[in-house]
Amino acid sequence: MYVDYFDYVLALILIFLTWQMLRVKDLLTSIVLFIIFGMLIALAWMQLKAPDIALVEAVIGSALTGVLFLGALGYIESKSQVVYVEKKNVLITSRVYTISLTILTAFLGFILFLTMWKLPEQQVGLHHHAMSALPESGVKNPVTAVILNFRGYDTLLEIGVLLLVVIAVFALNATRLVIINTSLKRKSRILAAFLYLLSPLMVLVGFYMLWAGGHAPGGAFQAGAMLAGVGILMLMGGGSLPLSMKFRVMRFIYAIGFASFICVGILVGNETRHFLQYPPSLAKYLIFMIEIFATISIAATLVTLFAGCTGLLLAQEDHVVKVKGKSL
Amino acid sequence: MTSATLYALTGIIIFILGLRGLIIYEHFLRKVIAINVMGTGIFMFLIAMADRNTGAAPDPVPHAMVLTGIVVAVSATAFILALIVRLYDATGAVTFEDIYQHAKDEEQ
Repeated sequence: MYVDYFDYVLALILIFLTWQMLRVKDLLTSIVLFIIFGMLIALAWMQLKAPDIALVEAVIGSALTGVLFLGALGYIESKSQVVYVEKKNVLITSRVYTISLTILTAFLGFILFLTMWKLPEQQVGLHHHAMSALPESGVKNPVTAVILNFRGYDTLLEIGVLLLVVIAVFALNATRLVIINTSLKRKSRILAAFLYLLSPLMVLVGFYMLWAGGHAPGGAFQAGAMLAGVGILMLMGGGSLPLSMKFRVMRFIYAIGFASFICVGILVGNETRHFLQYPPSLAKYLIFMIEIFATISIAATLVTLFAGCTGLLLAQEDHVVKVKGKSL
Repeated sequence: MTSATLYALTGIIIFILGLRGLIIYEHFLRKVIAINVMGTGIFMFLIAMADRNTGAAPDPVPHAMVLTGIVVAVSATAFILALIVRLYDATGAVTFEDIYQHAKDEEQ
């Protein structure tokens, strides 16, 4: 495999962006650079022949994380009475400290580079194993097969982590909150038009990505994040969402992804003597069912995480929370 | 140099820059950005290593692991940010210095 000039240029841009995004004084610029960095990383994933990861990176890793950061920054800046002091993002104390730290980390990088250099340039991976077991897995996309069948246990725990983080975010915030109602004093027309025109399309694309995960890059996480995008736009454009553990429906929605995965694992374990070992004839349907429930769960979880990071869950009053005049 | 080696090197450099940024800068949001950058660097290294297969197609198992890794990194970031927002709401602190200052003020 020869190296394209594009790869060199992309690598240089990525390194430059990383250095700049951590270095600029303005946090807003930093976060925007982070989003751009994420999109270019998605390009790098395509160059490395990983289209599934490119999708996940573009949707969740770059866009969603950037939105979470922007929400947190917006909350901090809207509440701060002090003018943003510049010294807060400047290097700590002495020059000697920073220079010696730079030398130490560069040395660590050099050792990592040497370790990588010793690894063989070509090696036989698990590609053949995955492809030979693919017909029994129930899907045609090898990455989906690995995620939901061969290494389904990892995905089970990953969905468990999402549930755990939702519970933790609720634990940090007001428990009397019932419904989040954001109403902008000046409703933005562009945002309203964006919502009207794009949310049906986004829902459609989300469900298509869920369906396409069986034979092409796609899957539950990308679909869930797309649907979460609709929810986040609703929160930003003015809407009521019942993001609270008080409703049985919401508790059900948060937990259904993890719960359905465990239930399927136990039920097939009865038949095949191993937890999460699908019988090959049923694998396709079980995988799709798990993916549907996981998508719903992931979408609700990500919208709630957005609300948690933006300070929307920090309610002081009971019942309905009106976030007045706050343009998100 | 193959494309896999180039991206592995890039991944290492991004990781090191992120690590340096995590230690040096004070503002919490900047630290969280640095943590995300470190994670991205490691993922790039892992996928570059997965692309070394004899034959054309890469190894799908590290792809699945990095997919899981990205989602878990986003969850952790969301939790850290919720903690930061809550901490700011309670004490007004955005750096460790602010926290120490607040604790000192509370003592008096």
